[in-house]
Amino acid sequence: MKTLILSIYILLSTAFCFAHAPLRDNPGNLTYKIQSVYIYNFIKEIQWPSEYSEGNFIIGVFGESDIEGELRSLAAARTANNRKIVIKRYARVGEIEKDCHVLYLATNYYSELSGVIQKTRGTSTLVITHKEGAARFGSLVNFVTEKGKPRFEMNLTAFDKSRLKYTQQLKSVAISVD
Amino acid sequence: MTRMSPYKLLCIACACLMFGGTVCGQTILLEKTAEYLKKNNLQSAREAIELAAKNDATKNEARTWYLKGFVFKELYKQNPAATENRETAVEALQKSLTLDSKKTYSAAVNTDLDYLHGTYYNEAIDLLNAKQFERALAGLQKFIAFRVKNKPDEFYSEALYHAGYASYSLGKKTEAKQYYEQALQKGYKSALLYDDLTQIYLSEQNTPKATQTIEAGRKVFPNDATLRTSEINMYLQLKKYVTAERMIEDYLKANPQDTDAMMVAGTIYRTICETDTTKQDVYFEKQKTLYKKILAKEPDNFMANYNLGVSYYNRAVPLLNDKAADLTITEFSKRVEYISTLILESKPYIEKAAQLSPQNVNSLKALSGIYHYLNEPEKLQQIQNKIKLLENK
Repeated sequence: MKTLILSIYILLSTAFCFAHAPLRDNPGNLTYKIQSVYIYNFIKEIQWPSEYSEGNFIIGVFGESDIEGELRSLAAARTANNRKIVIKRYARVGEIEKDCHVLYLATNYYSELSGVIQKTRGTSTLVITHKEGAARFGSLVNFVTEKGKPRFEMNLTAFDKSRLKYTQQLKSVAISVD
Repeated sequence: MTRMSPYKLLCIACACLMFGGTVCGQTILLEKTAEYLKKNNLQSAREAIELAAKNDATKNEARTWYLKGFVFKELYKQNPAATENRETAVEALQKSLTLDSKKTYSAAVNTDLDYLHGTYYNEAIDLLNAKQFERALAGLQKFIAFRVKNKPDEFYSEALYHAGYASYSLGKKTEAKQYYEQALQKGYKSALLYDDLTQIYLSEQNTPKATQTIEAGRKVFPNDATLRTSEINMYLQLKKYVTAERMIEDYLKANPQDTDAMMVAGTIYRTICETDTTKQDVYFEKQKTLYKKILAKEPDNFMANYNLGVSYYNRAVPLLNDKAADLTITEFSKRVEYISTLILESKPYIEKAAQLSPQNVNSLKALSGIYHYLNEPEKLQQIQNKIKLLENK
């Protein structure tokens, strides 16, 4: 019989299997997760006047923001001093309710800040923003990034006017703005 | 080579009729064929034997079909591209065997059949190399069918393996498995056979068979790199990370420069880090050390840059689980500082990965998350525009 000639051909699988490490969370969510945990801590560290002590604890989100999902997850699992946390979305300044405890102004809606401030004047709504310099324009808490680290500013004057009482622990980790 | 004229053939045929017969038909047409063959006049031999094969006097003779097979085998040898001659030869030789009750020609017939089937085999190997799997498989099947009856030797078991490979390449996994199992049963020894069969069992989620096969292969071929790699891959696939880790670390001790193996170790460490919360810190450190070692050797290794960057990022994620809300604000602020350190550490590696592979959406998405976290809006916008462009392509 004729000599059989064997040749080498490409085989099924011989390479080591290694792959892209998948990101464990949607990039960008980290920021909103941090902000939502901070907001939950604000609830623990701030005391609202007595007229805000009845009913549900309301957190409003003005405009569209991914923080809403994070806040909803948090509200489903936690309470605010045994009060149910309710997340509400506001699209217009006129929709903001008087008994809203916390109002988060989405970054893309920053132009609405003056209207929001006007609307919440004389109330004890904790207005929170995420925009460089916003604390000086009337928001009570403003998330900022300092040397790559998320922090928050507290406008102490605005706090005094709103009759919101905060703990020293809260103040100690914040950047105070007058 | 001289061809026999139609006139001459007619004369022979007439002579047969005149002499009435069988004996004449046999002696004249068959002897003429043999005579032409001796003179290497294949065309004339062909014409004579084709007449004999149709002649009532000779068409049932084993010798006729043996000669026909022989002539067509020689024609095929003369011109291998004319594969129809080989088909005719095989058919004729097989018919000869059925008619040869006294086995007068069977030894010679089998020698020719063996030769012809060997050509199917050789041709099949060339076809496999040319990735013409359908034709290769057809040839191998002919070879296998012949050899199983006559000579199930080492070429037979090897052909079973090749038929398995051709079937697998054609997506016929069931057939492939059958051929591979037969090859193994018939004693074919090849690391690739063990490897391929293991892959098939794994694809069928037949874990016990896969494990048994790869372990048997590793016993026969303890130093075969392909099998070792496959075994590690298999344990990874089966989520037996501790076994996979032990194996890859043993391998790395012997092959400390193998960056591919280091990448595998990185994948294993990452997986353990994600699945066993009690070991997250240990395996995060192991990942860092390993990827930095790879990058010291290959600073432009995309995967190592990307995976190192992502390992920092991924370490940050579980630090923000549901329990983070139980921390005091002071504790949480410290945790945020640590998370920020991880993100800042991640940044240069992901930036490098995105620079090395600008079309890679994964690295761009990771980078957009980092810029979002670090509040770098201009860079974030640039990256998001790039992602949009790539995703719309």
